[in-house]
Amino acid sequence: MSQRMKNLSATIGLHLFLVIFTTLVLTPVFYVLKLAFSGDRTGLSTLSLLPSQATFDNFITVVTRTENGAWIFGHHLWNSAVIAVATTILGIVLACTAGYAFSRFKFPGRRAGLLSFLVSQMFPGVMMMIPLYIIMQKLGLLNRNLGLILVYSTTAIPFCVWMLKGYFDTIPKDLEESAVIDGAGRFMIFTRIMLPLAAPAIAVTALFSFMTAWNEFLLAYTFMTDPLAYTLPVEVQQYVGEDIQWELFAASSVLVSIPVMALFFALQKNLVGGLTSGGVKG
Amino acid sequence: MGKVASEARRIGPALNGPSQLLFVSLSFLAILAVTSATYLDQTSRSANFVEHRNEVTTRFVNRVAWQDTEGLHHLDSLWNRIFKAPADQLVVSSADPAGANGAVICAEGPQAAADLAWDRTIPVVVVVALALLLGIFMLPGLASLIRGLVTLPGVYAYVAPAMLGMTVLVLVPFIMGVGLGFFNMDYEFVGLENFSDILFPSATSQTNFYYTLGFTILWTVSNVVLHVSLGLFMAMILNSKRVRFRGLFRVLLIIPWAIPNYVTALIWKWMFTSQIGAINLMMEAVGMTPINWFGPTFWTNFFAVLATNTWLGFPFMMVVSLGALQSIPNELYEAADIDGASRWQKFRNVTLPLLKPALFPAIILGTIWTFNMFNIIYLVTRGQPDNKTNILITEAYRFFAELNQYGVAAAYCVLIFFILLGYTLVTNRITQATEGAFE
Repeated sequence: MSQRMKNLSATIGLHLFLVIFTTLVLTPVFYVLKLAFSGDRTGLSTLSLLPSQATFDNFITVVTRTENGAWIFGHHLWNSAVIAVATTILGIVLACTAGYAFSRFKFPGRRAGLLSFLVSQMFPGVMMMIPLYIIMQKLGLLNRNLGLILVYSTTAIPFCVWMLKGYFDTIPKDLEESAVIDGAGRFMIFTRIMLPLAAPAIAVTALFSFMTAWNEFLLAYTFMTDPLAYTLPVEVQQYVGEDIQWELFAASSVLVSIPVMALFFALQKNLVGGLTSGGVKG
Repeated sequence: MGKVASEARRIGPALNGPSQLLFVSLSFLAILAVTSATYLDQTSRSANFVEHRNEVTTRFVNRVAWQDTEGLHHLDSLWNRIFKAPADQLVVSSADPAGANGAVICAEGPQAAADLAWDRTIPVVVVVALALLLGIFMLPGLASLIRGLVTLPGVYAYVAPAMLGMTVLVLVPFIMGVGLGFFNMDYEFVGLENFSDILFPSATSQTNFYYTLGFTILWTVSNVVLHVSLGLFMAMILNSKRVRFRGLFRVLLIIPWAIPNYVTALIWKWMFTSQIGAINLMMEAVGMTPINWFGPTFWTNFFAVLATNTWLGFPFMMVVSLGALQSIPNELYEAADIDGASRWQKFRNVTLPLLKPALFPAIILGTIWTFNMFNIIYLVTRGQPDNKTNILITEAYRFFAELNQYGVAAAYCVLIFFILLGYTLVTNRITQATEGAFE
């Protein structure tokens, strides 16, 4: 009896701790939600987790705001979406072929190539930023979506290559060998056998590079000087720039975070394995 | 396929992995160190020269004021002065006729000419030696690459687009970035001046590399320790057989990781804001005096960034540890129970060794992430107070964006790169974490 009581109290204690810890961890999230739904600014400086009056006003302000007749949120959403989608497509196409070759062929330069992808992850972002800024300036790509697409896709490629190479490695070679016997060429094997088999990995990698591009702040912040050319992360940061409006920051960050968080939870299981086995940064 | 493989084996690997890379980078570092030492030694030979140099750099940043034989005053980069000016123009007086704050560089007659000649030879020797060294290491690889291109063109077609993209937008900027480290803000070649300004700071330097490096190490170590211990602790609790709704708790606890990190940074910036921030309100509620977190005190600022990044980083370690814990077969614990092992002994001798393979790569990765965690530092404290909470990467950014000294920023980045490269090579040696991936 006493043993059962001890077990029961230990179980209750454990859950109590978990609930308290989780609540503590989520406190900032609760406060941001409260801030986002707070109608009046007086509601900001209270400890209560519930807004004094819940409204969607902040969201409406963020979404409908115009400046000089231009629809700010629409522009930024469009920029972010175009950049993230184009980055994903470009990065995946390049990474699929490269990942396949690195997985299946042994050729001079293979090790060096793989290693260079790994080493390129160690270049500090700021270091790449200065020359890229100069290059973009010379090419007239500052304030253009194309500039960010090119930069983001090249930063996404190493991760994608390592992820996809790792997945191609797990596909048995027998399949290709029998295809060769049936007279299939190398390109046919790649498009008809390897790509369909690797579809799940490609999907995960694509979602991941989409997320990275959607979340990138520093390069967009530096390269885009025209307010209409900003991406959403820069817009979120602008709300706490010179004129601080925490409630608009909260509303915009909720709007921006929801899609990536949904993606994140959809693919988080696959993310951990890929990150640690590839040994690359995100 | 078999033909391809045997062909590749015959040609041999192009670059024999981390060991050669380590050697090349170490030689590069050594040459860098020797050159900067020699360079400084040379400049100190002409005593006046060095005496005025600090004074001058305060006002002109890597520039030197001098006067030619006709009495005209010039403002020029130090490097141009040494490299381009004819030796006879170096004969100037130590006084400053114009009275412009005494910034005249002095050197006299034949000695100056000899110094000048020597100063001009060093960089040439260094560049040639570097090129030779790199050439020797690249040559076999390059040769086999060309042979490979001839024998297996089809294979390279798959890799070429990605490699081309990487070359244009990663390798070229990288080389440019390294190169920029040798130029001043007017794109004039200044040799190793940026590096020596960083590595051998004078009283007037705008940055203290060693302080920033020390802070970066403090920042990285304290974060990774907190991430791993908190993550491991929570993973062990979640892994307990008693826990119900494990999946739910797991999902709730990784929310901080799912939120974009610039949003996290700004959320915590707001949490710590003095008038309306939740932290101070909570402290008031329990009867404590509110703190001006982003005020002039180092520790409160450090606490704010540390809290932010711990919140952001522990879920990753927790998920990795939880995955590894769940893969440990229960029989091992049962066997340990039969042997009468205590709780600590089981943790020490069963759990930890089996966690290592998963935890080590995660720690290496986490270290690099934290080392370069630009967004948190920049958005939360922006290096305040007085750049004391700047890590290397934000310090480099400060030189780029605030001071517009691209050269110093680039030199900073080169140093960061070598630190990270060294770290990765050493840890790679120890853990062999990525070895398997090459096969």
